[in-house]
Amino acid sequence: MQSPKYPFRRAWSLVVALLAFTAPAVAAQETGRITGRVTAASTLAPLSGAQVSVSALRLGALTNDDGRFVIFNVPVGTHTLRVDIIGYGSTEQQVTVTAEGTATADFALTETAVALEELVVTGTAAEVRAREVGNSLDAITSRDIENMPVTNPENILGGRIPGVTVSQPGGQPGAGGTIRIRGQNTASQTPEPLIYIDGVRVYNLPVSAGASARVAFSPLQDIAAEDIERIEVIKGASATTLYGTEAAGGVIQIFTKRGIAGAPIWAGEITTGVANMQKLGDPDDPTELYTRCDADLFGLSQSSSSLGERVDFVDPTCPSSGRWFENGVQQRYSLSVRGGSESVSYFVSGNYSDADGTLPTQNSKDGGFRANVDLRPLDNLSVALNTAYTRRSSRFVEDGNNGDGFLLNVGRGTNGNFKGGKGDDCDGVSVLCVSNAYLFDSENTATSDRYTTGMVITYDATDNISNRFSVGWDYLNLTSEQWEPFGYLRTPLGNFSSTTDTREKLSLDYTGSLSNAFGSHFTSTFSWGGQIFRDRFRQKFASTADFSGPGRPILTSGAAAPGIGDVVLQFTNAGFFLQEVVGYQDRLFLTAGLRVDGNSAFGDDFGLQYYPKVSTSLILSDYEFWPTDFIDTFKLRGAVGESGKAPGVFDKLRTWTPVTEQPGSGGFTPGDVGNSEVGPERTREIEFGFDASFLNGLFGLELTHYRTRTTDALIPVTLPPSNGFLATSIQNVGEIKGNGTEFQITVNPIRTEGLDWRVQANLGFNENEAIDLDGQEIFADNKAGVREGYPVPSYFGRKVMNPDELAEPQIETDQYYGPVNPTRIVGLNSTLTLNQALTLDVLFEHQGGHFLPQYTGYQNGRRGVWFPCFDVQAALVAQENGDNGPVAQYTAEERAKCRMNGIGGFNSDFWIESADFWKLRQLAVTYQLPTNLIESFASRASVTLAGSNLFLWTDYSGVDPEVEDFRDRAEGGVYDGNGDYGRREYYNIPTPRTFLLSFRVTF
Amino acid sequence: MNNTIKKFLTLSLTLPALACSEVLTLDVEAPGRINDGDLNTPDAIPGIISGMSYDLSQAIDGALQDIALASGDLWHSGSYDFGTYPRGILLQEPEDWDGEFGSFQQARWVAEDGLRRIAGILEPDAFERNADVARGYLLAGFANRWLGEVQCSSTIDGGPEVPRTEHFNRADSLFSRAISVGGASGANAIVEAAYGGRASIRAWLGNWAQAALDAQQVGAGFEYVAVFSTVSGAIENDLVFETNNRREFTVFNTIWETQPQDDPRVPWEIPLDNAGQVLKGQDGETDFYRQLKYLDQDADVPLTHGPEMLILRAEAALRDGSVGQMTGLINQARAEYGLDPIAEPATVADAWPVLRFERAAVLWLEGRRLWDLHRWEAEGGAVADPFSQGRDTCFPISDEERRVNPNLS
Repeated sequence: MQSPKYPFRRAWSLVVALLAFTAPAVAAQETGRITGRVTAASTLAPLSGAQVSVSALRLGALTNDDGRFVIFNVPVGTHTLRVDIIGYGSTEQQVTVTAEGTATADFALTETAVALEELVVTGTAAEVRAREVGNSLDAITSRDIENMPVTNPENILGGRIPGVTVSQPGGQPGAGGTIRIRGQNTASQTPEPLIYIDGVRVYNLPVSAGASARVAFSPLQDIAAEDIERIEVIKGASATTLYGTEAAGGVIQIFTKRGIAGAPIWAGEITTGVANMQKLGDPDDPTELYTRCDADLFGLSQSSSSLGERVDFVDPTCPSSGRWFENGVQQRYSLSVRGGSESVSYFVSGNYSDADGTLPTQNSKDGGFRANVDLRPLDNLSVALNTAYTRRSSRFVEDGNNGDGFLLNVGRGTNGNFKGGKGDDCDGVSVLCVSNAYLFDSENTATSDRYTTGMVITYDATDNISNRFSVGWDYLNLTSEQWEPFGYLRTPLGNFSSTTDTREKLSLDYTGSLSNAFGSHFTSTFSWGGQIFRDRFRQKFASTADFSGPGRPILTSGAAAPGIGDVVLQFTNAGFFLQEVVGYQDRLFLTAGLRVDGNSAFGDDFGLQYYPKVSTSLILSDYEFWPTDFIDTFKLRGAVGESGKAPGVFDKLRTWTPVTEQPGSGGFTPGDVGNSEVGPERTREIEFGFDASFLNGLFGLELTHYRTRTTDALIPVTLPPSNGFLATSIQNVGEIKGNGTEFQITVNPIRTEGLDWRVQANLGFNENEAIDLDGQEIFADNKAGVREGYPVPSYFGRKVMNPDELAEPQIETDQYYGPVNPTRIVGLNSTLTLNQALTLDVLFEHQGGHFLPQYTGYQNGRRGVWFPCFDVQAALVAQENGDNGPVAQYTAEERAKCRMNGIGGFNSDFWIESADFWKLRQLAVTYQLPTNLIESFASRASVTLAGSNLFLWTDYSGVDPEVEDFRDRAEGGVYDGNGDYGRREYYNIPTPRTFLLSFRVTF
Repeated sequence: MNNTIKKFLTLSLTLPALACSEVLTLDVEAPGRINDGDLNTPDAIPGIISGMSYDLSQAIDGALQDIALASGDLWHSGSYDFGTYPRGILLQEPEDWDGEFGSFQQARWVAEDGLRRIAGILEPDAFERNADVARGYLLAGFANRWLGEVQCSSTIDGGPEVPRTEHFNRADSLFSRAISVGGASGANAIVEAAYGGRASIRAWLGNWAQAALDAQQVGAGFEYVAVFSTVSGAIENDLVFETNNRREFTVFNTIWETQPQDDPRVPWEIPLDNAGQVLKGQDGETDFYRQLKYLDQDADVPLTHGPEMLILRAEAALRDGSVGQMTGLINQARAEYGLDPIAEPATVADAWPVLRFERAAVLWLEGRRLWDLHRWEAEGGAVADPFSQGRDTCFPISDEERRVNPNLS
């Protein structure tokens, strides 16, 4: 394809080079330093990570863990020193600096539920104060999570930001989660948010960790929690407009820690503990879904001659503990150092973890390093260099809907695929003999290398003109292998396959801003900028089978003809934006912006798209009439804006796929249908709300309501199969509406030096509906689909219409069950601190309003190996034999769900269940060791005992309402969002609970 | 600003920018996919034809198991959900047939569209003498024959509902074109296969005399197959996987379980476990008797062959009332497999079960028996096979086609 003409192509180099030469000269000056300590006024606890700055001089520093800071090279004279930190009111203080002298300024900050002076970046073009922003803002800092058992941003975000859903879909070690922001406003495209790390956009989609593992590695997993200073999240199209196409799912921006001027500060952490699998299956099931192999093991016969009769079995390969699950030892180590001078500072960290799973061969090791270097060659020029590398290496057991999967075999009791054993395993066994230990002979691994590097140059050409240029490269290489060795029970000659996924994202980003004041009342900030993102994707697959003997194979070892696959893709997204922010009396702000975006998916003309936005904020509490005694801070805000989602790069073209008829004979088969008219779908969002702080920060409430409308929604339209192309055609025919309300309630009822207790509730409610699909109905796998008048996406199927009646089931086809994704997300977080030494953190999370097909119960039920069905099935067998008495005590739903082979009438639709749940997600007790015990080796040290996923409350009958089989979402192992949105639980191992003991030290 | 700092800044800013500007392009690059227009060249013709073969094999592979269950060639012993097919209820859930209907329609459309495309590429004279074109007509004919044999009714290119005979009529025409183009290009195997295809089509259209004449053009040892290959997973013979790697289908509970295991037309075995017990199927309950007709995943599936033609001629003879001629032709077919001849049945009524059995054996697991059951059932009397009573013997237009085709009610 021909490259289109594009006027920006060489412009970047010229712009940035010219900027370099326009830097003004700097004269030598006499200087001194400013030092001090920042603490919380109420509790006197030190505040780390506070930004202390002499803004007029563009000098500043961050406080360390003890709340201390030092600013070097401050010109002689009197200056205004300002402190900003999220959760506390900003404070200013005058300090006088003498030549070679040290001025001291201590700050005691008052907590506030609403931080208007907090500086934010995400979605705002340039760094601005929160008071100027017209949409909801959410941020989490390192202080919020310092005691919690979190290892990466996924653990951090779950339950802590209203409207953000983080699910833990699988219990394989190293498995990543899924993130949704404000539900789903696209019918067919990937709903994942964009991710930025230190200002550089990185790859944001999960990548399969192997066909047999049924889980994915998530791009957020590669960022160590210890490295994170702050996470900002913006949610809807009204906030993400400046990010253009692809941003409709929200934006997560992660800022890692940076150097602090001063002596090196070291921080280390050692964590050890265990992962422990909770009981699976029905609470009354003594076999715990047959994972206890020392129990009385039996199922019910499906044979017509002995229907419903007890079939006993034993497993001679059962572990000596009598349980397949075991405790998995967890270890994690991290060490970082930060320091530097005013002109050069650094943050360098490394981490390593080794986590055994709860099954014999499961393990995950990951480790990496991060080096952030800040150069400040001139007062008005800074260069931030950020580099991070992570390696993750996991070994899984086969999982999910997979003939070699752990739960599909162990959990199926009499119906597993590993029977008969080897050698004399089953000698002397008079009942059915199963031998599930051999499923662990399979070796399934995934190894990923992630390298992310970026450079951000900030140049303030004058006092009111700033320029920011960044270049970044994100590289991910993931190799997954599956090896069933020679002699493997199910495939005695063995097989081996290997898949390598490579993802690259190269980005260039420039933003400039011009600030001016007009008179005493008006301010103006005009921003402009542009970005180019180039994505590269490659997936290579090869497999072989039928080895001639034992030994570790390679891809040429098998006698069977090899299977190969290869997918290559590159595309570009680019655009520019303009934005004007007008302020009036520093109380009223009006923002207007326009994003112009193009994508090579739109063809040779690059299909420029225009996304406008307008927002406003009004600080009512700054007016004299406002009753600040009761409501000390009150900000009204509103925003309307648009964002988009691009179609796939081939949705425009009709293509044919090369195929091989037989060796030496290649051919073509229909590929993409092609739609020359396709463009991006557009989501317009109106958002309004307020941020309020009551009673001097005792109580805070942030309320946001939003309404979205996605037009030109990209719908995969099914064409008549008799027209030859079976793939769907992506067309802009749909319209989806949505709305939601989010609350963040913060209560800090006790704030004393001896006792500090704060509670935060994050509530998000969302709903959406496909209001126009041009008569189309989108069918996806796993019973999910998109239909006019229903949430996007939803489950449909056969349904028992009289579920609670003691009667025969009345079944209707094609009935609505409910949405696939949660519509209610609640996080409840409490932190209680005694004497600044003992802290108890608790996080509960609720997700609800959604449904999940429970295939484990369905498949077991029809095979007579689902404990809750045993009694019902005995009654159903009696009914088959003409005795209707026993079945009379069972409901229609029980009768429908428990029908089995030999009786018939079973259907997996009956197992689509409400997936509402509450979880005690995290619980941690931290003790800060007394100074007199540690002063010889550290400035600060603590011990934490923490647990995660400790309790689950749900009516869902499967193993866990959070799990899903990743392969269901990623057809062919490639997650592209095109209709792959039907979740289901299918013999998937759930996330285990963990108990961890950590020792943290700063010195 | 001193010069050193200026140089540092210039380099640190300019070099990355220049480097990136070289790397960044606005093109979509995706080697491996072919734009539709790129196929409009003579060099692409062999690939277009191979694609027709690939799509037909893929369609057959997808349907073979359904048809085997629906027609009693095999019984279900597995864990996959085949719904009510084993019980001969095919019309109740038309969505179950979505994939198979789509694949056959794709195979038909690809072949017919490919021929239209090639006609636009080649000069008329070259088109009429091109062996690839002859094979294209042949494959298009077989795709239509499959659709006609398995569908109760159908549709063409998003059009209205048409009777299954529409596919037979199209196949008749397409096979005739394969014979003429194949003859002109010297593609003898194509011609012979086209006669085989047309013979069956003409029989189904009721022209048994012409059918017998065409059938005589096919040698007793001739076979033309749908190509299966392990080079591509999509056209591996999945029936082999499902009866070797898994135990999804069994000969148990079929008419063949009482027949000798060493009949070369219907080979099967009873595998035992370590304890000497009959292995159970994937469902853990049903005795597993393994089919041995297809042993490797690149085992081809016949589209037409000499013994089939002999049996076709035998049926034509029987329909003429000639039991003796029928018996002779059947015995010619049996001789091809090294089987002993059968005795001549006493009456026409006695001959029909023999004919049905011999045809079922010759075409076992070739996906043809459902149509045979259908047409025999339609005639009733001695012709009908008792097995098909109360069973559906054809598949509906798929639910997917009905939903999205505006010309279907």
